[in-house]
Amino acid sequence: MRCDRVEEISALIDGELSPDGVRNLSAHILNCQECQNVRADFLNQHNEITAFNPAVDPLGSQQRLARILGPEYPKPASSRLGVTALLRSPGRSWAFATIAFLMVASVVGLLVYRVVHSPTTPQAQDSYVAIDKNKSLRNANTGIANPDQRGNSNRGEADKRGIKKPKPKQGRRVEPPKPRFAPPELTSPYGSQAIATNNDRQDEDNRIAPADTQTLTAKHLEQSEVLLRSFRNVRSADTGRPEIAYERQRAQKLVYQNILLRREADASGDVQVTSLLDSLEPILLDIANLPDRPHEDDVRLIKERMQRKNLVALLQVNSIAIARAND
Amino acid sequence: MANEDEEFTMLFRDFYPSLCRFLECLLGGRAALAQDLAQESFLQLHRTAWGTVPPQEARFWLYRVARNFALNEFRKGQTRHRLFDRVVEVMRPRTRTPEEQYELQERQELVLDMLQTLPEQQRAALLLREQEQLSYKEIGQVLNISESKVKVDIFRARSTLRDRWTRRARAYEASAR
Repeated sequence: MRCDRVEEISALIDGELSPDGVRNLSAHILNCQECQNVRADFLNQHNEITAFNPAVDPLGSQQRLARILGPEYPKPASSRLGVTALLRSPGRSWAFATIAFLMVASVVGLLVYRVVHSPTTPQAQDSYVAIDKNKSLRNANTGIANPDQRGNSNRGEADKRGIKKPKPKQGRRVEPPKPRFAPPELTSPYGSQAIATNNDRQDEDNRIAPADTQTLTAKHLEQSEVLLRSFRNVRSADTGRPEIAYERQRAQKLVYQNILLRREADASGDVQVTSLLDSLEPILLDIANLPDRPHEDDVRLIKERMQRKNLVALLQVNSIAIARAND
Repeated sequence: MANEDEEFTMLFRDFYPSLCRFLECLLGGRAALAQDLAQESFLQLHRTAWGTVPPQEARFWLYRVARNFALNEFRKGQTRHRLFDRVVEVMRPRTRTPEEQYELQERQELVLDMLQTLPEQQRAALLLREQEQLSYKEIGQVLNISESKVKVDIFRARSTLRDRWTRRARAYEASAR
């Protein structure tokens, strides 16, 4: 049987429902399995689509900009632009044939080069294995699990934040303030109760039980909800610069927890919680990076993003759902 | 004049990558063509509308024009770009390990394939919402349709994708048995 309210879930995720509608639907979702499934699937889809983030070559884009703006900008000596322009010129069939020939020739050349220079002899393979073993031993001694992996995971984080960067309201660029706050090395926010991190050799031993994670997540979501409510109620002083020192400090603490719990949820395949923590993280970071007395426009922009994402309502629904599941 | 160019440069740096991504998804992964069309859109803005389009509207204007360019490409159905894209893809420098690259590529191709099965208008509406985080009102402005139509299109797109994903997962499980 299909629930009548499934259609509203799409609008809920997009932050297009009125506050009353959000409250109403959130209460309904708690008791409707169909709607819970649809919501989880839609969030999963969202993650898949936003994960598609092809890299744009900065040099190439610079050259394209130069081409648009004209001669006062340095023109590229050779680029894909030149090829594209050539394709659109009157004698393009001839040009295209030449280019195609050159490309085929370069591809063949590349393949031949790879075949000739590939290490396929047994000796070469042995030496690769030996190098790899030495590297692992060295890393084990220094306590680094895999420096390459760590680099990649950090880069992944940066990429993710890149996707979630606040939507500019204006057509023109507004320079973002330099971050005053950056998350330090990850340690457990819950004392001795360590949460596993990717670059720890004792990952499996330190991994906390799922029930603990859920309790911590429920607690974290509740704390975040309180913080966001408090931030939402911040009012401007006479100077036009509201006082948010308390919220900023809370946000700094919650960012660490959020990163750890998001990784945990991601590792355990909990799409719903991962997605929620993923949307929460940039907001917490932005609040943590504000000065004690920020400009009211900065505060307003963050509030608008919170409202668009329906974060407060989503946090409330999820913390209740997780707490109930734990009971 | 210099000031205008600076403003245009800032706009370009802010929105060129996201416009490329939007077009690439719309065109089914044809990266080089997407970049060409994104450039064409900016060129059109610079030549014809820069200064007349209000700054807050420039972004929507760009997406509208870029989508029209993409629609023209659908109609043309040219194959030479596909060959060109493949060659560019082969030559593109890789920063991930081959396994990671393969896995990522497979997932991205799956997402692109799924998106290609949607009607163009639903696909554009969904991409503008999910990737560009535009509101329904803004999407309506770009696609020149009403807000309620945007809402319905996005819901239908999501439902269709959900059905296909579920069917695919079942087929995968059945083949694994």
